[in-house]
Amino acid sequence: MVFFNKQGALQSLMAKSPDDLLTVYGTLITSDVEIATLKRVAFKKEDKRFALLTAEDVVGENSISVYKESFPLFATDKISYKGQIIGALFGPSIEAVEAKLLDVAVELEEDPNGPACEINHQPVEYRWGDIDKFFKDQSFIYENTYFDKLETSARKSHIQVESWLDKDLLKIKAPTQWPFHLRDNVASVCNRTQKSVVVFPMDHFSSKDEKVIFPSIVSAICALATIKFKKRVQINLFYQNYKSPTTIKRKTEVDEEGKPVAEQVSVVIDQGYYSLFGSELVKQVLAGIVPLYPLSAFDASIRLVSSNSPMSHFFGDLGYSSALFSTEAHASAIARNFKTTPSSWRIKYYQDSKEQAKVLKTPPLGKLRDLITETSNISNFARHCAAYTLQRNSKDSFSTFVGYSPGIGLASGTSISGFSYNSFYYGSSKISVTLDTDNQIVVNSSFYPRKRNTDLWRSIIAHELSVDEQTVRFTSNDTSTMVDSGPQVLSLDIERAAKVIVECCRLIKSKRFQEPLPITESVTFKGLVSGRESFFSSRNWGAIVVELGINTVTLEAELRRVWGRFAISHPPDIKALELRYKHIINETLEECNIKRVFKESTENSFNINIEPTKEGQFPSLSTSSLRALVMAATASALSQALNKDITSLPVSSEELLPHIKGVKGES
Amino acid sequence: MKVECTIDGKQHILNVNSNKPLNRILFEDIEPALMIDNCGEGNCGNCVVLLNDQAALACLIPAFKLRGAKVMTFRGYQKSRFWHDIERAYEDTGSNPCPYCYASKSLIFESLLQTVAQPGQSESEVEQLSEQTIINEISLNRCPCLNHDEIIEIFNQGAMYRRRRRVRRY
Amino acid sequence: MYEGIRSPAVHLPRTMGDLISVATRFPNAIFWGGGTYIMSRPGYYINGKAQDIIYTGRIAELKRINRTDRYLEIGSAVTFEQLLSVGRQALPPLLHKTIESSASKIVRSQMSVGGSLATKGIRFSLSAALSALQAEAEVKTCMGIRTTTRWVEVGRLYDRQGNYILKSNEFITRIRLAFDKENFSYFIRTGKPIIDPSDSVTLAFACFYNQSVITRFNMCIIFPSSLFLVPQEVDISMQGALLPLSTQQIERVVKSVTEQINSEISIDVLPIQVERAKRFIESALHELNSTSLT
Repeated sequence: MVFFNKQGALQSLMAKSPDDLLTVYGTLITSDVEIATLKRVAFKKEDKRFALLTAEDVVGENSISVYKESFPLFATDKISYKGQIIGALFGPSIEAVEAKLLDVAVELEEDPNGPACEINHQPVEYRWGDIDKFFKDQSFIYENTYFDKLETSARKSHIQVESWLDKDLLKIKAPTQWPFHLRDNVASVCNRTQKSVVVFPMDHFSSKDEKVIFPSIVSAICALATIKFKKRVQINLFYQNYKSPTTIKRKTEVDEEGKPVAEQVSVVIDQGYYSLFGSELVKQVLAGIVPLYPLSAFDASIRLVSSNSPMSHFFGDLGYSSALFSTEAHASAIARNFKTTPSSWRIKYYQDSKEQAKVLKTPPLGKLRDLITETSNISNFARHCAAYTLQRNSKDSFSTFVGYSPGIGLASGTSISGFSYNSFYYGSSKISVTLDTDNQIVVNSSFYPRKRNTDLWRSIIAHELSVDEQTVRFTSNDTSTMVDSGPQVLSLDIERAAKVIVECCRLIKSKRFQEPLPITESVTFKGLVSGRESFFSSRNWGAIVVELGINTVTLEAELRRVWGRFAISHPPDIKALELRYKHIINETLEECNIKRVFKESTENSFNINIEPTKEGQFPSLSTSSLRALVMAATASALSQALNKDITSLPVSSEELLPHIKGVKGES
Repeated sequence: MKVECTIDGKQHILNVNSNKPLNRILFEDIEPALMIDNCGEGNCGNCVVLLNDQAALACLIPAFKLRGAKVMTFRGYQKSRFWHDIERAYEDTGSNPCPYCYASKSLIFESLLQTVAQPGQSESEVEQLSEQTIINEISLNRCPCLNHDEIIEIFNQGAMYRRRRRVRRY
Repeated sequence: MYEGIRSPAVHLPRTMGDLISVATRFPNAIFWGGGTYIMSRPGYYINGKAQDIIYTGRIAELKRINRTDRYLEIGSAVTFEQLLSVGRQALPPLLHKTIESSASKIVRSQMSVGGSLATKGIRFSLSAALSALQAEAEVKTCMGIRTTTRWVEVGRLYDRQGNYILKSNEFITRIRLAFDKENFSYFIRTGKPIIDPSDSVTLAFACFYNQSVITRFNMCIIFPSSLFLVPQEVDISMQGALLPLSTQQIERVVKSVTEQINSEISIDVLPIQVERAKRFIESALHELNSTSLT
């Protein structure tokens, strides 16, 4: 192995003159193993056109901070998970760099028996009532463990980051959901002031929050290279986004009629090697696991664990959907156990409760019961449920003669948005609104201006300040002029932003015609939402029915139909929202390995309806419950099709096989 | 190898490896914005382009097949008047692909419309495609955002607009 | 262009003579039909090991589809879409269904018959369908100045593990299918072989019966990366059987084929694939019964 002459290569890549416009291209070098000691990174064959950057090249802090937590940018001597960044390779073209990557030799001392990750966080507990009085009589205890096993998104995401020096400014173009996080970490890694780094956020589509933290990592490395080579640097990558696998054990005591009286819930969430947003994740999970049936006693323990796997945090939501999936799947399982249809069981036992409202304040449950009734009626839920249960009891129900083993499942719940009310993650995030001298309105926020949020903000401002929507514009898209509104996650740019903008307008209205223009008002998210009694509140309800069949020949679960009824407060564009709901439902079904097979039919396979309500003042457009409801309804339908509780999703045909073979009549 | 071809109406002389896939050529040698968000391995179906007016997966076209070829990406296609048929179909049905697969699915719809509906055709002249075939073609793009009913609706609406056209030149 | 990634020489023969000459002079070059499998492999472009290419798509003789009184002859460079355009009347229903279900039109326009049959390391549905239809492949062998030609049953192009057994100096030029050899056919496939071969199973089944007596019975089962099974003993034993088949007969066939599958596959093969194969056979025979009664 040839030792790489780092200094020589760095010099050859450096700009020859201030007019040197050639771009340098880069890619990341990552670990192939989980646990190892890093010895050396070198090229097998020296080539002065390429350069390597590692931890020792970092001029500032070799770490990325996320509020109070942080993790290394480059691994120094220990590898803690597969895919950990060891270094970055730079060269004259994209394909050259990709090809040269094969020539990079990473010397690792693997230690498969070495100390695995030993970080075990203290469990967070939440309870009411006296749980010790319950769980004495085993015959009335119903217990199950639910797994949301999904670990990665179905496809890799692409990112392109470019950085360059413009006199004293370090400029970066990158798609990001958090421009100021990117700026601050680049400044820290490159040992510069925050003002000397300017970020130009680019448009992106990140349905699974792929661009919260990773763009900051790549940008920091890209910026470091720019400082070293004094050239424009571009990094192009495909990368995987990770989700925290979640295990939820639920133990419920019910009375003779099937009414739950007490429940114990234990949640374990694996966030990978470094835990981020941990304290907020716990609250989001808590909101999902507290059921809608009143309980005399409830005892929940939520524990984050770390393991030798890549970091995982936001994935469309922050743990709420995994938690709600377990709650709704459990409700259906209890109903089935007592030979009651899940819809009538819910209508009978779901009630408003003070304890539940302390965690998540919802609209009155009467509306949800109406939605469940409506969804059940249009899907003929009770009739199908009874028919499929009878079919399950027949001999040879999985014979190839039969063709299908059908099942139908129902789930219901509410969506939450934003961080919990007293969350420190709001920091000093804010939005500012300016009424200009020419009566134009300028909205200043680091949230990327997209149609769904700009249309909403325009309509709010037009209504509040009695101006034309066309007079509203948005500040130019770079961090030198924007204000920091925090990460663009959890529909913060919709519901919470709407409240903040209304408050800005209220303050402007109070000064309008009294103070000279321009008038600028900024309102922080935290200032607006502190002092509440519950962690979250919502103004929407939803119920979903999923009907599927297990094809007895191919042994694949095939979707038949989906019905959904939703009540959403003040939706600005119902058609657009219905379309978005369908996208998410389709995506979730795909994640659950439910195939969509074309069948000639006059009926639509999707029957979704959104009813606008006037609950509260602001639109409620969060979709955080959708994934959970689809998963819970799917699990319930699969359970009926197989006559066995299916509590783990996604599930493959291979995993269904023992259940199919175990059905009466099959050997 | 030197390859002469037309990309989005502009003549290019490419100096690339003979087996370089078209998706990489578009991304690395022409302009990155023309070809992002694809797996590069023929699995995702998200790199559709029009090659000599026929839809093709760019990741499966090697450079040596591009000699004299006409390539149109979604950006170039959006400038053609035929795009409006599909755009209006999206608006009328209230359904459209998600941002990830919008470009590719639109080009696949275009290739289907070219097969069955020519401008100025009467209803009786239109070649019928079965719904199964339409679904299979769109499913080349593996993004699951659209369900089957929406796909059929969009296609039927687009075909109606395409037939209504009276154009002399493409 | 980066010199570290080899730019392979591309040979574009226009006649069979050119093809043989190029194949002889460049024995390490690969034959390139549609290129859909080659280009879809991870690291296809960057791995720097690109071999020279002999592109067969310009040889007129290989792109022909001929129909005689007895046979349908298909050139190996004919694309799937080209083959479909011949029409349902000219193609056996089993072949039509196999090709239509193999991929979308956009990809079928590139996939070639020869490429689909000759890909190393994976078996696609076309080989199962052609085997069940008892199609033959014309194989040319380049031996320096001489070239020999022979016809081989498609089913004999592979061993039981699905490995392509022709040598590198042998290539397929034509496929020949006799007409009216079956009046019942059945095709079913799960999964996408090109994306996840371990989850895919294909069954192609063709049968001829006359007055409720089976005179021909041909079945082929594929696990793309591990099995290519033509259960000849079953095929022979089913000749002369009366339709409709009894439950016991169906069970015997299923048991016999399953035993053969289990004896050929490695331990890596998932049990779900074997279970699917079993159910495909059952379903095919139920369908045969049902058709024979109508």
